[in-house]
Amino acid sequence: MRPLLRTLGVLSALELISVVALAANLLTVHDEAVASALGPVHGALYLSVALAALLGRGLTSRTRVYAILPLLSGPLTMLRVRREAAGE
Amino acid sequence: MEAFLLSVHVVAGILFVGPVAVTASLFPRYAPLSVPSAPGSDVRSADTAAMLHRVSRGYGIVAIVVPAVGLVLAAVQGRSTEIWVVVAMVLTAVAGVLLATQIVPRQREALDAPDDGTQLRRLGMLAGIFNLLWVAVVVLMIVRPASDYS
Repeated sequence: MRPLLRTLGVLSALELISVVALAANLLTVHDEAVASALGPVHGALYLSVALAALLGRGLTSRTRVYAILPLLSGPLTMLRVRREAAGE
Repeated sequence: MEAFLLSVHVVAGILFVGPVAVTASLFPRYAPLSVPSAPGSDVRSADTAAMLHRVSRGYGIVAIVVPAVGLVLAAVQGRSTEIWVVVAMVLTAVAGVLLATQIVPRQREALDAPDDGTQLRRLGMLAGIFNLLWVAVVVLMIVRPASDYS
């Protein structure tokens, strides 16, 4: 697997974890401190996934489009990374 | 705690991002070409270019400290939702991803397979964009538009 795909896979997994944690916090205790700490972290992860997919070289355009969809970019990118790695 | 984080953030920014700004800009001048250029005036050397590439890559990796500490600092200071912080984070992400996905891989290619200078001109342009992004981030850190703190 190419380094770019591996990085994208790891980042999108972390992004998915962060968004799930944010949602879990929202639905249960809704702690402001947790939300204000996790929010920017999730934003940073989303940004890095989207930008890596947009600027990365040799990716399919479907992978690029999926990676910029908010909320869905984590799981969709993890899926696309596996597809692209298998197609190599 | 805030003073410590701010010190780490600024020192890491100067010592890690600074060298990458220089090496990324110098690389196109020193990288070898496939066509011979005028004798006497040529500073091109594969060894020098390889060193510049190593610095761009290595310092680029440790420079992750800068946005990581910056994120913690913004959270500690309760500034993570201020517009100048958000814009700076976006610009930093663009710069970091540009370095990781375009500049460093293209440097590697220029070292492995020198061409007539086309890829070096593109590298020069990318290095310029990279440096301009950092200028914008530093200006945002100083001017802090729409902030109550400045």
